Amino acid sequence: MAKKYYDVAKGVKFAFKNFRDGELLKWSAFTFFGMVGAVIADMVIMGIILVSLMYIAGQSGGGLDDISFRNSSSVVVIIAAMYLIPRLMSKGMEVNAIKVRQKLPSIVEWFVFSARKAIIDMLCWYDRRLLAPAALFLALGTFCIMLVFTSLLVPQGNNINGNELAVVGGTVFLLLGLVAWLIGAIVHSTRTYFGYYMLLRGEAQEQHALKKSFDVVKGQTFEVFLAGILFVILLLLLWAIAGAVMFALAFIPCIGAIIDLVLVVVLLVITIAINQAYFANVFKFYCPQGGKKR
Amino acid sequence: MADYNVLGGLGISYKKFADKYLIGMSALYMVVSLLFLGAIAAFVGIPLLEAGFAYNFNLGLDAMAGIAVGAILLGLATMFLSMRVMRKGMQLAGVSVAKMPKLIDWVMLSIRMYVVNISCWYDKRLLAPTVAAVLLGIAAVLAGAAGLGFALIGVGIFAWLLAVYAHKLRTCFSYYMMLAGMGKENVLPSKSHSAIQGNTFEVFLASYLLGQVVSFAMNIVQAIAMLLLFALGAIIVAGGFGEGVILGIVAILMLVVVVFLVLIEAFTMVYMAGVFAFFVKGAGVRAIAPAKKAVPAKKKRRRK
Repeated sequence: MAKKYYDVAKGVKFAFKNFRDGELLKWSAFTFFGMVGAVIADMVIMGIILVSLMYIAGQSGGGLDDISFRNSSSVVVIIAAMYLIPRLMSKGMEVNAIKVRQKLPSIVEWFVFSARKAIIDMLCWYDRRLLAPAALFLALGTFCIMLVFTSLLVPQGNNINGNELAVVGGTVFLLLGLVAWLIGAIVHSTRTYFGYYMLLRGEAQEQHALKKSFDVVKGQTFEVFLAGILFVILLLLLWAIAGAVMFALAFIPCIGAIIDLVLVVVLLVITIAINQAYFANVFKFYCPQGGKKR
Repeated sequence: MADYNVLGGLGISYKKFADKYLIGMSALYMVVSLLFLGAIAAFVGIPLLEAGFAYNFNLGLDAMAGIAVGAILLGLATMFLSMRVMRKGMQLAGVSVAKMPKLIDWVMLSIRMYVVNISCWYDKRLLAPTVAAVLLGIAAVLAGAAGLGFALIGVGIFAWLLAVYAHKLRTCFSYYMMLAGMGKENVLPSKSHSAIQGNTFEVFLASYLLGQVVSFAMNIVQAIAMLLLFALGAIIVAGGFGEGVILGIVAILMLVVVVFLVLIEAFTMVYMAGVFAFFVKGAGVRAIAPAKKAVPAKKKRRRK
């Protein structure tokens, strides 16, 4: 398969030209304020329950109540996210002239898809070789730790401090294993990420979208990753410049801080919009019309 | 590999589970199985408490024998009911069923499944991690590193539980196979196992995602219920009612929770029957409607 390199500069230019779309900006703002609102609502619910617990039962929760209210409170945030994200993403796609399916996925459909993606990515299910480095490090780490335990039995002439070496080695290997696993999961989730877009384009059912996305991206994972990371680095640079400006503005007495606050919110909303415009474009580049396997 | 359409399954279950017979049987099943667990707990727990903590229940041998007989009867009743619940779930999901199997066959199948599963009989490679960990553990204990040895044996037990879980997933369709009349009791676990092997993760995913959606829904209900409870509680405290009222409200909310559990049981039965029909070829599915058709039906229900 011929490698395809996405033109980041062109994409950024495109995203900057096109994010000023009324709908996209509207949904970016909805997403931002909706998520903030959901978190606040979540905290309010938790607060009500906690205060009521203290008031009625004369104690600060604990036990079953404690667990169940922690569970139930995050529901607000999840529902908000599951409602807002598909709408936001689909607007980003429309800016890119990608056709979005008529009926957007329901909250349940998006939820099931996210849960499926999380499990499959964590297990690196479609390419288990990704887990090989993690398994190797885990085995080496376990081996080192076992060495420690067994050498504890051997009477030690205090000449070599092998124990400490093995402890350090074991810890390092286990940590490396953890990192390797995370990298494996990230690679896997990069490959399945287009599943969201495929679901929104309506070209795959919820249960097939992940595999389809995986098959399309495999072989050019790094290219997709590169398109993403270069963009993020660029955005961070821009944010650094904005940060410097804001730092300067903060010296204006009284209104400086208020201007900064407004600026931060506006910039965040714009960043969300640009992000969506950009990544939908990357998707369009790698999965053109109908997302057929090449 | 085939991925189950969770949404389609949910849609069908949502449309079909509101069946009087299924819900009634599920309720009965829940009550009887709780009683069964209680009887088992009593049979095991009473002697333990008496011996271990010098508790004296003054229960003679006769009483214990009575509990034992009761437990056995309750166990049989559980099986009697589970057969009917599952069968009804299959019918509602559009999976064709055979004549109701004999209770003795169901009992035999349950016992067989138990033995086969805990020994991971049809795929003994599942036991390999356990064996490795336990052997290493024994070696460590013999070498004198008791702490490490017991830790490794603990890991082995954990690995064994995982293996049993995987094996159970593969053989659990034998119950459905029996209800669908797909063979005699003695061959079913093996048949189910070979049908699912290679698709174990997909079956797991189908049931796990159902669990996620159900617990998500339960959390919503829970959040509302708790807010209601506390609002009522605050009113009562402000009005100076006694604790009896609060307890009454708590009891009502508990009842609501139990009702929800029964409904979830019924819902799960229809859903899992659909999963069975999807993964076991030749299960004689009459008609599993695609997901798109389930959606308008859902809306119609809401409008009522």
